[in-house]
Amino acid sequence: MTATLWHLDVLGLPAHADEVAIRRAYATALRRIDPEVEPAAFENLRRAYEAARAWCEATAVAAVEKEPSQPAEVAVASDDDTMVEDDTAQSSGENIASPDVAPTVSIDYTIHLAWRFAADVGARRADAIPSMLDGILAELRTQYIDAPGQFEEHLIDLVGHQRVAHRAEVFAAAETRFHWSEVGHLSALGQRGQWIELVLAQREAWLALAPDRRRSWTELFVQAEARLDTSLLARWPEIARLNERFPAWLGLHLSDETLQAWKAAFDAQPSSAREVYMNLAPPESAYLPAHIAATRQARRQRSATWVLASFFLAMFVGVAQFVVTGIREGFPVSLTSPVVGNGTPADTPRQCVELYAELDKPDAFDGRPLEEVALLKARAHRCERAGHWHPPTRETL
Amino acid sequence: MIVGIDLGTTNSLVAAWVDGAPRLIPNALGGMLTPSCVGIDEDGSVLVGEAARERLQTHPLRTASLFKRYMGSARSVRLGDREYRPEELSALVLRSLKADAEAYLGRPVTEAIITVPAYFSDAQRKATRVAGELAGLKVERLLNEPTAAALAYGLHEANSETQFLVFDLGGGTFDVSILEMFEGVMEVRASAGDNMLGGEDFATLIADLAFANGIPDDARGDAHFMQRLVARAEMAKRELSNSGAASFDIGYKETTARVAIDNDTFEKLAQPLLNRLWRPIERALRDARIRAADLDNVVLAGGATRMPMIRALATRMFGRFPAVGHNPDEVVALGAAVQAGLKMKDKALDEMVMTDVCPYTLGTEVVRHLDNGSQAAGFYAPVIQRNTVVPVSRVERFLPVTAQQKQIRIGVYQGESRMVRDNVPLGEITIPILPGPGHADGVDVRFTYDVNGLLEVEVTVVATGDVKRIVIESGEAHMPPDEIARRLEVLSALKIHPRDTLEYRTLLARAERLYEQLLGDVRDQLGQFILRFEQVLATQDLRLIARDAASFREALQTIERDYRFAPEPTT
Repeated sequence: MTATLWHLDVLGLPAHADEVAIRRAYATALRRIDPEVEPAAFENLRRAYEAARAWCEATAVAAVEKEPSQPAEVAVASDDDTMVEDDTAQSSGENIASPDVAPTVSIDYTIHLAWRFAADVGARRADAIPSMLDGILAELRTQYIDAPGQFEEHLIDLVGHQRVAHRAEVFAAAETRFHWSEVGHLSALGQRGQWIELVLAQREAWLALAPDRRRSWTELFVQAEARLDTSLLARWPEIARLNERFPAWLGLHLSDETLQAWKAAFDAQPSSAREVYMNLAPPESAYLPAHIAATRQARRQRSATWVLASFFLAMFVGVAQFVVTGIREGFPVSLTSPVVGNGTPADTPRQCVELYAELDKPDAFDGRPLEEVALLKARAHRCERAGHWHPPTRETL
Repeated sequence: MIVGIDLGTTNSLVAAWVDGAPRLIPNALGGMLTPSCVGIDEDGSVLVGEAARERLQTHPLRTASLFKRYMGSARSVRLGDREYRPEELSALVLRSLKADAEAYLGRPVTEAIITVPAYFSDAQRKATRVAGELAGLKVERLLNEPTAAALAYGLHEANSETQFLVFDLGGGTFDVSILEMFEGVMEVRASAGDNMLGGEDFATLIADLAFANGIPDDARGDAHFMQRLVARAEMAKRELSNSGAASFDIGYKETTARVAIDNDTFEKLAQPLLNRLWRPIERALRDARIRAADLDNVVLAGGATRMPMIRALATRMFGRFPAVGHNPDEVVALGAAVQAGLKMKDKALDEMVMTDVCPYTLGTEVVRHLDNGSQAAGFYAPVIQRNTVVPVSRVERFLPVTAQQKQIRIGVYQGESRMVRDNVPLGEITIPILPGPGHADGVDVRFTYDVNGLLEVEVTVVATGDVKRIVIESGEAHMPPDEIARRLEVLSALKIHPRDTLEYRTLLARAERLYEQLLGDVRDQLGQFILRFEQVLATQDLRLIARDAASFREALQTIERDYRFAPEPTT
């Protein structure tokens, strides 16, 4: 534990220092340093300050959640360049159950807007999605400044949890309107941002595949989503292979239910039939970028030595490590819920999953008093903070 | 003595820290706002400020304005017989402000703190620094405009622990900063902005109405007409803020168009511009991890925040009325003076410390693994994340793509996109490495960003310890030192209109502008006035000139007042 408290040493503070003391110590030390003259000393102080604030917040969260093992871990994980939440209201863990103060947008307004959008998407053609989103954005801009951001998070939840149709189109329309190609935006979105980053990276890989393959698979997705016919059984090995490579991206096209039903139907076949289907599946090169697959094909035809050589080439291509530290791990967790329940125990990961399922129902908020809705949202928010928000993963298949 | 300068798109101001308080310095005409306009007189002497602004309409080809918008680009403006870079035009404005400060303070001024929009890029900041040098000023610090506004605001903020947002909509740029104040520390948490959104764009909307109301599109090529139109639109914009409705007539050749507008129509028209205000604010709030409800106050800066629709929007966005008390035109310059006081370690500011952030993400280009086992180039790997407190120095390690690689190219970029092709390239370093699997340690790349927004990149080969370093000198508009020296010489040789008669020169420019706008008898009468005043000026008898100027000014005012209701002449 003491090993992680270097930051308090730098600030000259004892291990029981609170947020006020940390700020004061930082302010005092800052007056003795001219950042322009001593940039290194300033940076050291700044790192210590940010780490101390993160540590302080983590301790406070742990105190609320009654999980004594957490503070040390969080203090290590929230490294120096993670920005720190200003969290005075929550750090003390008391009197935080007060409902929204103006000017917060009523939470159920943006949720209902998101649900209305989901319902509209189901009822209308996919090409209407961009203009529908524009309409909603215009409506949100008659509200407080927080409204578009709140809506954006609900929308990511809807897409990530597969509660909306035409997810690929919704994702594409939202991507440009909510600036999902911005690295800073994604990191500020926390785990939702990580999920988007995953989808974008997998889409990149998907787009590198041969166009005719992509076209045929896309048609297959549409067909399967419309009706899971027995004629599609033979194609399951391909889908399983795609699902290994592009699970998040595939989730925009095929729902978990379809995938599960497909797999179950395939597994129910006699093993001889399954083998035949497996052999029908396209070769491994189909799942590689078109240019690599083409090169490999050509070389294979020339000579066995070349086959061996290209194998090594492929090894290099596949194995060489390109980027080590370029991609950061510690995405800061976003905090947007206005209400934090006081005294209620934190949900377990399993409870979180159930909670999300509950919240994702279209009628989740119908007939419920506002306080109850707020409490549900607060619980969901704590799930998210504890790292239990996750888009559907396909590991269970 | 260090002065603080707000070098604006439309107007510029200079202020100084005097006797423990920031104080604005008046120009030769007695006003605080000096229009950021530069003109070349017929006799080749330079006119800056109000006189140049009046001449925009009468001599559009010899006068320049809005050049801040082109800072950091290679674009230049032709005035008379010479091309001027935006840095040079800015330098002429700075020189005029410097002269005003020296006249007011009674001593030479050689150092300045110049404010820049927080969202100004690397190239734009460098250009501003060069402008300072060309004006004979050592630029002690480039200060972000919203941060300056916050300093002026925070100086009198009794509440020592507070979080607030600065909403800075100037003539040409929009900035948002979120600040936190505690224990005398003024900390910028996040900044965001739009460098191409300002009050001028709102005036352009009104000007465009003339074309919708019958003025043919080919009039856009007529510089005289366009300046006249823009001036009328700007006047209408101000009138809208005051009285809620405005109208004017404007003629081009045989056609005359009447433009009438009220606040409601204006707001509808401006909706696309208003929509662009949301994004930077949302981003700054999210980056600062603050909700609107957590803000204690919203501070407005920049003249364009006088528009009622902007105030209404800010009130709606934040669910509260923005702070009043500071003149939005002056608050940035006052803050620059506070920073000058801080820099001079003034006792009155002993307790105050300020930290700012780097508003852009800075990073390098990498090749990335894709999920299907292939590699793809062109990805962006951030090294310094946006809104990191500066000064800052960060290291990341990068490996070669293949074991046979003989060198590594480190591309340096600024921007937010995942792909470098959508970001701004700042420079690159290529460094040799030892090939072979045993030497695959790669390179350490260190980005160092200082308080003025200058970036230095250092690459170290891990295996050998070889180091290569560059200070980013990027952009099409980069000026090497010898070029700066040459331009400094040229600028120094320019004849500047003497300060003591600038007032009369301005009066004359105003009269000439009026003359162009009038018709008939009044025009002839004004022509007589002008002729007489020119003759008085030629006597060089200051006492006589001063006496005549007073009655001349009065006559102009009368005509101007009446003229407001007079129809626009057709030419």
